[in-house]
Amino acid sequence: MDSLYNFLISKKSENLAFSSTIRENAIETYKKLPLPVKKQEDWKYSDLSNLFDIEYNEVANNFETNLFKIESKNKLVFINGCLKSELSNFNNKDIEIIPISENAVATNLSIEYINKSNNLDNKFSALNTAFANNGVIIKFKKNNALSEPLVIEYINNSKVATFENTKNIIIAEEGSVSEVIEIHSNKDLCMLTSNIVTNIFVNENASIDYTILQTEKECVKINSHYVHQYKNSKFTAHTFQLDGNLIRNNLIINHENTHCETSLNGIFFPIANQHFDNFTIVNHTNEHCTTNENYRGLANDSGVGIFTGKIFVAKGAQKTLAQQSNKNIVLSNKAKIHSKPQLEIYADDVSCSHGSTTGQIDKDALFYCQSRGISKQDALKLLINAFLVTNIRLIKHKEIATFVEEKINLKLA
Amino acid sequence: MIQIKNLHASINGKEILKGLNLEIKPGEIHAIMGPNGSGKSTLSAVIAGREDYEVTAGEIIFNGKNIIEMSPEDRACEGIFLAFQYPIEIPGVSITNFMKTALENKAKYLNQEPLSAGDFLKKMKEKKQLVELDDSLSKRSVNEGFSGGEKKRNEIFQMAMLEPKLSILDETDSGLDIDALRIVANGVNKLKSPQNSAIVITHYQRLLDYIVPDFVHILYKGKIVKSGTKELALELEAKGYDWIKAEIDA
Ligand SMILES: Nc1ncnc2c1ncn2[C@@H]1O[C@H](COP(=O)(O)OP(=O)(O)OP(=O)(O)O)[C@@H](O)[C@H]1O
Ligand SMILES: [Mg+2]
Repeated sequence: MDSLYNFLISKKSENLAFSSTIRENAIETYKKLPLPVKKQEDWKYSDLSNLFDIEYNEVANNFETNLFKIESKNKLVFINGCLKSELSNFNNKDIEIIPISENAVATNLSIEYINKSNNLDNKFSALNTAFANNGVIIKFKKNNALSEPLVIEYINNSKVATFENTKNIIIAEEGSVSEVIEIHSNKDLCMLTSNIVTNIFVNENASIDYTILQTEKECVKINSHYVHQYKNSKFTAHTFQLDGNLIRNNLIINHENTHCETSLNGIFFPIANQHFDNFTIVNHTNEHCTTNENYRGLANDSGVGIFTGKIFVAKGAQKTLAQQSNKNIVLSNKAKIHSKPQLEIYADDVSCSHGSTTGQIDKDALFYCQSRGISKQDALKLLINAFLVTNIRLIKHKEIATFVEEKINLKLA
Repeated sequence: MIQIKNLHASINGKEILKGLNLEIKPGEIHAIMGPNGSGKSTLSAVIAGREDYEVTAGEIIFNGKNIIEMSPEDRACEGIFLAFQYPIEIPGVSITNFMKTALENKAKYLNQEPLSAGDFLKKMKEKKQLVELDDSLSKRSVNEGFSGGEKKRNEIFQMAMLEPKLSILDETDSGLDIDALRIVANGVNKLKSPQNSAIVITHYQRLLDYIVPDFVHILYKGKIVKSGTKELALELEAKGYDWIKAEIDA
């Protein structure tokens, strides 16, 4: 077997998330699944096969401060993939948090949820199912509006090559309203590859506004979210890939019942040798559901950005409204952005549209600004900020919006 | 103000300006006329510093400085303004934000304090009135969805805001209705001073009734082939370009 598998199997892990039956099945599936290489359609632009050949070691988890903080009473801090309870706190009135273990999963999750949480659709997810030993089950309480957002901080500082599987399961109970902010941020060079899988269940009439803010140094991250939406639920995601080394985000949405609303908002901006991959799927399997997906990409230097947006509308999913747009600006000759929109529609009474453009900065607009005395740098910022303005406006938190804007301006300088 | 000597400029290897000479003194207004494709907009763009054009010979001296190597933004801050023949739409950037950024950049270049927010808004209001620019337009994105006439009016508004030393109006009259033409011309005339100069590019004598030029030049095949006073414009209006072309091509 590959060295990644050997490392994980030899590691003494307590509190594995799933039962041995599920885990053994995951291992068998893992062995059969193909490596993520270019000839695999879903990994066409991100060949991650080399991650399986690295010699990994175990790491001590010490404390590290974060680059970007949001104050909240509800906070979970993960250092090198492990939950640090001494740094975490939360308000019991709004949230229930249970550390993950085989027992916690068995007693807190219905069979349906367990089945939907042991993901096996690619090698990374299968590994996570087999070896996840870190993470929590989070419950947003029924008919309750969360008073402060739940902030999940992922801080990595491992100086040795290591690999962590973290698993979080979020259950938004019926009628709950909540906000989650995932912050991936660390100051220093880091040798950790994190394989995080988050399963999100948005129950009837519940809504979640979910932000994924990625701004870290030299990290390899496979960050997957599997979202299941039930009747009348609302799920909004904001994904910002601002810094990192190699990032693959999988965002997979399933509509389990009618009248679901989904909004996917994303900005990615690789520079230098950064490689940021966004892989999204929305499965419309029920009637009267809506998807709005808007991603904007920028790339400079030798940066590579990828957007894959699959929207499937099943035969029975009448009255589906699905809109997808991906616009990209490439700022240098060596930078690349790959855009792969894919709409597959098997229902007839639907309204679906998609558009994708990749181009360079509008030279006429740039000259127009300069001819008014605006420096090339400022003109670029003006035009890029305008390009991103609709995505930025969707952000609820002013501090996050400001951080995203400032970070982008910094990367443009 | 500006001296252009033996200017040769090309784009994509094609020479457009072929030894152009022009001198403008402070306070003067020069009209440039000429057939389509003769190089009028090219000359404007080269003076404003558009980098797609390669200056292969000659010089442009602006207030004593050779500006050939200067960036477009520095030229603008030095006091050159180009009112575009085809103004560019910039979705997502409000006119207010655009002008604020422009004035801040200019102040920085000149080592001056930028205007306070209050003074800036006062100036915006004053200049909008000057060109009778509708208030609702100034809240919109720069030129986005503007009618042809609105775009031209917005150019003159920006000129009023930036208070340039040398204004180049590239067919600002085209697309304007008769009232708008008068308003825009009035705006230009109000900004006129013994220190400021203007180059007015036009195809029609009509504009020159409102903005009276000190000199009229004819640009043809990348050169100024004839210069005169405002009567030359009247003569062109009556006779067309054929006699000039015959004279030059002979
Ligand atoms: N990018 C380009 N590549 C090749 N030729 C160009 C390019 N841009 C302009 N030209 C040519 O340069 C010549 C001069 O164009 P210019 O726009 O300066 O003319 P003009 O005098 O302003 O004409 P008009 O009266 O129609 O506005 C034209 O023949 C035009 O086709
Ligand atoms: Mg022209």
